[in-house]
Amino acid sequence: MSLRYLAGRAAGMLGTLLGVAVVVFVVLRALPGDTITAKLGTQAAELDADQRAALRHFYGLDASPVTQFLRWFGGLFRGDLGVSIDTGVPVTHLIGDALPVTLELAVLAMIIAVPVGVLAGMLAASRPGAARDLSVQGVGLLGLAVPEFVVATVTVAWLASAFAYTPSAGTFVSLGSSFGGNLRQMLYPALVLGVGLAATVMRTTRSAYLEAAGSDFVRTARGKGLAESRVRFRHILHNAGIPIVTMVGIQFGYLLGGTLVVEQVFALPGLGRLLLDGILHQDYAIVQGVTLLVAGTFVVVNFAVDIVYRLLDPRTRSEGRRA
Amino acid sequence: MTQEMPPAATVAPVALPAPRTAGQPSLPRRVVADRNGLIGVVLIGILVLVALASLVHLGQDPLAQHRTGQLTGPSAAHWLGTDQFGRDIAARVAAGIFASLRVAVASVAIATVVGGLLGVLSGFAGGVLDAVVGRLTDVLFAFPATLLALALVAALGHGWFNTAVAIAVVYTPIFVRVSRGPVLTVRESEYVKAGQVLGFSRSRLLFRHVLPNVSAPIAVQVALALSWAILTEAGLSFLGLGTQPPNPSLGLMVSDARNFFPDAWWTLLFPALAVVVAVVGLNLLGDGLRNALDPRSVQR
Repeated sequence: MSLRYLAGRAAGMLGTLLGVAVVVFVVLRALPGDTITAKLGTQAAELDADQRAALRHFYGLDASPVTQFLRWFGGLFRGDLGVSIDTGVPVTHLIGDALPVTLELAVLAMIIAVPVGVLAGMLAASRPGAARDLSVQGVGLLGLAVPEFVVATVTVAWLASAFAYTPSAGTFVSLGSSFGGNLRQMLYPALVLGVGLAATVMRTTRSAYLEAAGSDFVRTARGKGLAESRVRFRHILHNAGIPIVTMVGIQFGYLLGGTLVVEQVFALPGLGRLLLDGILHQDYAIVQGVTLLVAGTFVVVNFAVDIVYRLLDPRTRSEGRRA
Repeated sequence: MTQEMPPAATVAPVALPAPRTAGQPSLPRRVVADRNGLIGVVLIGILVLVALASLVHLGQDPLAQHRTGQLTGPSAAHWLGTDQFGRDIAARVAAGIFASLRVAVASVAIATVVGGLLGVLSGFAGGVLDAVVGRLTDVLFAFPATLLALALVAALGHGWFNTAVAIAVVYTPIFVRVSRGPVLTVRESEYVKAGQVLGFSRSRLLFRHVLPNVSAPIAVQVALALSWAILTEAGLSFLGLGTQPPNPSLGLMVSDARNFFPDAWWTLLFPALAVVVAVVGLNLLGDGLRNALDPRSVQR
């Protein structure tokens, strides 16, 4: 992998990040309703023109859109994402509290889903068209087709009737304060997230495995009498690894923006709930901050996956060197 | 909503079909000849019929509330039971399917036309247009799909058409990529070269020669996009950002059913089942299309 390639990719990534910031700003300026009305509610009707203008000035809403963008964009570099209009708390603090919850949820879901998905995919691909293949594929399709909100709703209802446990945001136990207590609250939401994820990983593994299993080096390995398990893991799975790693990386990025339903149903104070609250209260700064963070992370993760991909595959590495 | 088909990953490689030769069965016949395709066509056909039935109010009014007979199980009078306001679940599921399909079809139609045209044009013309469209798609691809749909719905406001537009924006870049790629190959083909030599206009080349030959991968993507749109619409409604009460929506019905499950299981099971049938049906239809369009494809 040449330095030039790396620099080119990094520059492209920065360009995309800038584009993301512009899109986030433009889309969310179009949010319906006036922030001041949202903040003051019915009292807003009693403001006179001067008070209204003063408030607009205080929140920086009187400047031109370009100035507002530059102000906001400049703030990003100082780690300033603005202040929640609703509560007056800096958005960075809110995100700082919410991010660990979502990250933990995403990591737990991955830990559950990746082994299950890879093993199920290998099982299905070991006999294409056989009963085991069709049943794994059928279960996988169901895993993709049953909406997450249904799985989450049923799980919560079952928890309530079986253990009289009802999730509520007030009683959230952070990872720092009690490991066991935290895990008890996070396990079920992570399982729910893991269902769809495992199905996706399974499908990718199955097709990548079949692709690799049909190649000449696998026939050679079998021909020289290697044990079947060695052929399966060392030769086939190893070579099927790249699409799987790519898929897992992309899915991780999606998870950061996709835990919303589960956080809402299980009342976990993560990024998704923060975002939803921001939308419902028309709190621009929160929505902008969370969207930007998630999209930004997603771009960076994809960049990292691309680099890991090149490190994993000696063929792309040597091509890079020759270039 | 993580089951969202990750857009970048669903850009499935679809081989360009060989030009149709005499005696070969037509595309619909080939789709139905495929086992998955047939199941998909049947499932979607049933859903469409149910959705159309809701338009003529066969039997029950989905909005009519009743003081008595709330939360009753399936019976002869109410085939799928009633909800907490005594409304008929069967009528509400049928109307909900109609609402889902309406958003899905509208959003995918917009995304296909806009994305497909942009992709074909930028692939065919190259140059500045291609570069600009390429950068824009990159930026839209940088957002996790659910997040972008959510932010757009927040910005556009409620209403089925706004939801459709939000989903369409998320899906447009996928259609740009899916249609642009094959154009690069077709552009260099001999029949397009021949057309150029014969002095055909650019628009004639584009619409009569290039477009028909890149429609195969787009068709497969349409089926997958529809299934994703149905899941997203249901998810947004579940969160309270899509269809607003009292209008029936599958996502909203599941959300309401939370408080009555598992005792009144029918309030949750039937709307959930409708979403599952739609998504499974569309995925199988997509498989069928892919197999029908590419004779070489082995079922993976």
